[in-house]
Amino acid sequence: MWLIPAFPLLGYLIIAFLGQRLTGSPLPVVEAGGHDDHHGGDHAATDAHAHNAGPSDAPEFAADHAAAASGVASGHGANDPHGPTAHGDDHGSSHGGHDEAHLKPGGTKLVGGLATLMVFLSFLVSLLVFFSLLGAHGEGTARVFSPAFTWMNVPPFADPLGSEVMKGLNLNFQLAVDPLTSLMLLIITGIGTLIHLYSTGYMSHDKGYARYFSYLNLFVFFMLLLVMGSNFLVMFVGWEGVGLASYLLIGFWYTRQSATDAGKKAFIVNRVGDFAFLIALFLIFKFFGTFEFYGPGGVLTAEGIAGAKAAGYLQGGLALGLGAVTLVPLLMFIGATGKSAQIPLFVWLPDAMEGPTPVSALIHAATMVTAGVYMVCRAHSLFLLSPTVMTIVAVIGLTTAFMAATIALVQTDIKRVLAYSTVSQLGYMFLACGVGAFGIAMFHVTTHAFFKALLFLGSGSVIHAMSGEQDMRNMGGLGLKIKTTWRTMLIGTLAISGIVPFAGFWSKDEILLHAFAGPNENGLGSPLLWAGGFIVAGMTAFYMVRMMMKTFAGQPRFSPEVGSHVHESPPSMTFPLIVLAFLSAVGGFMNAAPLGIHAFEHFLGDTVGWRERVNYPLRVENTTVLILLAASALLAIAVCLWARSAYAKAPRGERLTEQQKQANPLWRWTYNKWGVDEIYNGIFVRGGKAFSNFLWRYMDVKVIDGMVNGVAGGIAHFANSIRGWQSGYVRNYALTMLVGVVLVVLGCLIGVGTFGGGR
Amino acid sequence: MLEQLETIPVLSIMLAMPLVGALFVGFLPTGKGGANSKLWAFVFSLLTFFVSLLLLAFNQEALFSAGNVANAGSHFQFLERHNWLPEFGISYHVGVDGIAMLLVVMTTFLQIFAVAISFTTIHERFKEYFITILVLETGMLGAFVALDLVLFYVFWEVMLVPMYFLIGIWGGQRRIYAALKFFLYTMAGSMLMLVAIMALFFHVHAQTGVWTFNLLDIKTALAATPITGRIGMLMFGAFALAFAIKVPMFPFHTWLPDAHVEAPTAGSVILAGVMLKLGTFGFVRYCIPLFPDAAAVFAPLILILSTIGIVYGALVAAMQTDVKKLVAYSSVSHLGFVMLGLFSFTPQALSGAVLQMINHGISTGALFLLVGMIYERRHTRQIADFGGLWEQMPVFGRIFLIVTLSSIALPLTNGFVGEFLILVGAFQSEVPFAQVLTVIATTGVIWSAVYMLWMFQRVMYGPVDKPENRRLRDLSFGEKAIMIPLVLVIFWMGIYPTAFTRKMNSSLQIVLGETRSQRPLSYGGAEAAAAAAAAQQQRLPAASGRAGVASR
Repeated sequence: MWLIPAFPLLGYLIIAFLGQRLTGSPLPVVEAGGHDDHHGGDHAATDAHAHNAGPSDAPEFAADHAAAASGVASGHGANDPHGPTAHGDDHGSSHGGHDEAHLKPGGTKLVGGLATLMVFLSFLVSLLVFFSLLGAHGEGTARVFSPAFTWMNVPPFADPLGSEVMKGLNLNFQLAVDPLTSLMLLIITGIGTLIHLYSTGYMSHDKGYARYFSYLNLFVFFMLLLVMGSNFLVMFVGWEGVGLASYLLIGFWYTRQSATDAGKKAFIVNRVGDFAFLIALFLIFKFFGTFEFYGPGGVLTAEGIAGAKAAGYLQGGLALGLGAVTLVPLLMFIGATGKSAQIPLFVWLPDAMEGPTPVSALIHAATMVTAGVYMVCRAHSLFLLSPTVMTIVAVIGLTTAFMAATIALVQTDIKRVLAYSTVSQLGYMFLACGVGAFGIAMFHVTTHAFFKALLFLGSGSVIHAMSGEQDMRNMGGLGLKIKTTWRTMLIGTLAISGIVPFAGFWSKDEILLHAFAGPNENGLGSPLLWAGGFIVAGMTAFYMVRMMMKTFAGQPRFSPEVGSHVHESPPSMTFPLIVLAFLSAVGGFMNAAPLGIHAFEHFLGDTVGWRERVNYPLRVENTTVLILLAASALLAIAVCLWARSAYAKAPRGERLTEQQKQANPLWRWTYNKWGVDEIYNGIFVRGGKAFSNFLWRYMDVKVIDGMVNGVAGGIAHFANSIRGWQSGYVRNYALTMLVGVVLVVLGCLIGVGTFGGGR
Repeated sequence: MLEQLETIPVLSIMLAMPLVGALFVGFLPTGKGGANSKLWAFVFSLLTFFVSLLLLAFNQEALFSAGNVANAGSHFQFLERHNWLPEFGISYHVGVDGIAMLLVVMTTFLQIFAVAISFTTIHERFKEYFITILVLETGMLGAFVALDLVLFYVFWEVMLVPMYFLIGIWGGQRRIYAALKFFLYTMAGSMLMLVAIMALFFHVHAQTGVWTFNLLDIKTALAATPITGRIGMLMFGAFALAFAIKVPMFPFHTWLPDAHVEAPTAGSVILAGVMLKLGTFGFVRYCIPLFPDAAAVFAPLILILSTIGIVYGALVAAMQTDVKKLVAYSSVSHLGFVMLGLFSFTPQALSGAVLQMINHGISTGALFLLVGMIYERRHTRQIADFGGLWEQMPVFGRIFLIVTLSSIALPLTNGFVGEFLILVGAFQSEVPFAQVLTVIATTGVIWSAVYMLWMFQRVMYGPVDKPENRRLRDLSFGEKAIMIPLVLVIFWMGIYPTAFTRKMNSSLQIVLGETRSQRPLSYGGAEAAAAAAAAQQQRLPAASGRAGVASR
């Protein structure tokens, strides 16, 4: 089982250490001078000195050589003045041709192939595990544990003279696979393989080719740890690890300030969530005494929960009047809002589009951002204990879905539309969690992984064709030129919009149904939640069709020069599109509930509370179910048709002119993303800076150090003032002695008078 | 193996090794460009390290054998004891427990790199420099292994002087100010500690009629009649102040940024890596065991100060414009975690605190080394003067990234294990306010990401917009040789910290026993020893079982 994460890790290590050597030293555009030997890098450590000593005007080669020789470096470019910075907002700039590096074609094939192969091997092993679980079906209780090693071990303390005992901590580094994990494994490694394959084409001209694949493999490794960890801590390793990989990949084009800013923002915002997650872990340890999910006394077992209840888990008043039973899932959910980009921590995801597009597809659409949903589903037994938190999850999910959808309606950047769409769809998943339909949430995770990965990869293909252009205002009419991309993306659009019978319909419809009449004993669903979800579904269909129309329909709005370069992507990129389009089209039948197919949920079984769900069936009539079903099916079709005709008529693909847009406060507000970034910037970034500066420049330098220096200065002053006494004149010393003697005698007399008197 | 080793004075050899090295450096010619001095200093640092590796034979199982408990209840091994001034009860008494052993090995390990980095960062007075740094090592090691209060005090002061010279002679522009500040700050604390040591000396005599400075004897005496009340608090306060300044705890930290900025690279490495640990180590070795009652009383205050230190250090670090100063303030934050762990009095927190001492030594040591390396190239440490170095120095960049991540406690690096154990332990603590404070302290995970990543971004990423940054060469072979072992240790401690904790677990249990305020582990009376032995006998199977698991 260790094989599954081991393959990507191996890929990471190999590429990180040898990638540079394999792809060859990148040969950038260098205007000044140049060196004649910059291929290979076998003698580079010494080269570095040579270059430094010599009158080198291209020291970057020295750097690159040293990198190659040390083997620590991965693919890496030397400085290129025409690099990505020159492109400004041009996100796909690596295809602009300027910073194309002359990589060794064989080497790049090897690196890309190796990275893809490693993930593919993981996929094969995951398939094996999946089928073995499918065979040994036990309502989701089948679980396989890997060999473990002790990660942290603190023995319990027993006072030798007393009976006082403090519990120890024995933490194993262990993996486990159950149906829920195995599903995630298939998504991660399956879609991961496709996206790796796609990347071999998409990134083929980038000088950071090897570095890119090393990071990508690293990401897969951590993501696998996240879903395979058999306890919260191993999960947390993956949790933070994917954050790292995300940070590195968002900031992949590191010369661009906006990219590194976005990476940093993603990491820090996620850390805020991790902070909450950590507190939840402390509470879990306090009440459960372990971090293990399952096994004896495991956190997610009935036995473990009973033990915690005995330890006062249900008592309130721990903090803010809330008990651990509320705080634990609440804090975990805050952690999830960080990773899964929900209110209030969603701000990083749109910025994360600074990364290469396949990264957006893999990390910021299909896998990492669903980690929060995975976590909530995994710990659903803790969430179910607190109806309050369940309600919060549902409301936050719905609110996020709505807010992000409004923002997606007005974006002009093709990737930003998809980014906000992702945030919105993740909101849907949390809505499902909040009403207790965990299995459905995972189902939407799965279908969303298909169609959103497809849409992102498709948008990457568009950007590729458009020489790096991402603004839809400069597109149009691409449908005829890049037909495969157009057709596959159309399927993705139909799927996300919820058109029967594409994948999105089945999952979204189920979510709406459960939002209407939640399956839980607490009656978590409500028509209000349904109505909200229904509106969002309509908006989803609208902004997706809008995006498609702007991109592919109408007259071309790009320059003829760009137009001449428009071409369909190579097979390495279109093949994944086709596979994903197929999955988006038919993937929904895994759990076509209206047709009576529950295979998906049944497979997940206990891991997503299937049994609880069966015990508390929907609280509605079958006719209501049918009406709701028809309503959402018709809504999707109607909105799609309306949006299509509206944009078909619109001149230059715009329904509003710029003036109309600017005059409309609602437009401005949504276009500015509800101003959340500005508020956060104002309060946290600027406020934090001001406060920290105050601490440093006033507290530290003035107050504390001022006191220290004041004391020192006072002593110096005092010493200076008495220095005069040491004048060197005997008469002065004699006088001093006389005074001293008088004082001593006086002192003795007084002393005798005071103390001696009593004798 | 332990038995054979204990027949030879391992610790004395280890302490003498740097001094012998200093003699070699002093009496042999300096060589061209200090080549000879460098060579000898390096050789003897290596030898010291190898000798200290013998301490790894430290056997925690032996602690639980009944015979050992009877043997003055010592959980110390490699003991050596020779009378020094018997009429005053002063002896040369050294030994290590699991905690000191690890810190000693960390010290000798870091010393190698401190000496190695000095090859390129020191350009004058080679002989004096290497003598100083070797004497410093003996001072630090002595302070870790001393089991006699006077001996400890002597070593404590001995290490002060070389560090003063390191900063004052080989330091930066404001070196005199920084050196003086460092010296005075520390001396102020030391004086109080000396007073407390004397007071303790007389107190023990009053109790037992024996004149002794021996730590173990004093502990035995105090176990029978603990120091309580105001006198205990005063003594604790005097010791605590000396150590708190050294740590440094908020608000006694302002000497640290100045000292770090002005010190040469090796000085910063040793200062941050080892010297600060002497402060925290002092708490573990002296403050808590000698005055458990006072420690319990002061614990809330110390936890509050630690928490302030964590947040305050991090926020102030974020605003720094000088990389070295940033790292210095980050040390205030990290050491706050250590103090939080020590005074939570739970097994996890204590274990994490000791781990964090080592972690901080490795990670911050590595950071200072890296800062020193770019300083040698650019002769500036201002963040604004850099930018785009990732492109110029890829190997440097990658190593810097790893060390940065270790500093912000990413899982699978050493920092995470320490911080996590401290926080999870502190959260379980019974000390008043501990839970609230732990929550505040946990925000440290956010702040550390803020200041480290922001700094990393400004230094490493972006375009190369300064012409000076275009001519930078990447790490040389020697520099890589310095950094790679540290990087390996970062991962080793992050992935398999059990290798370290299993050496110290039993010592921690004993420290923890001492923190339970009423009647800690008794070192004296036969009854108590027997009871303790019996209790430990019961624990033995469990302990060996765990060790068995761990060793697989």
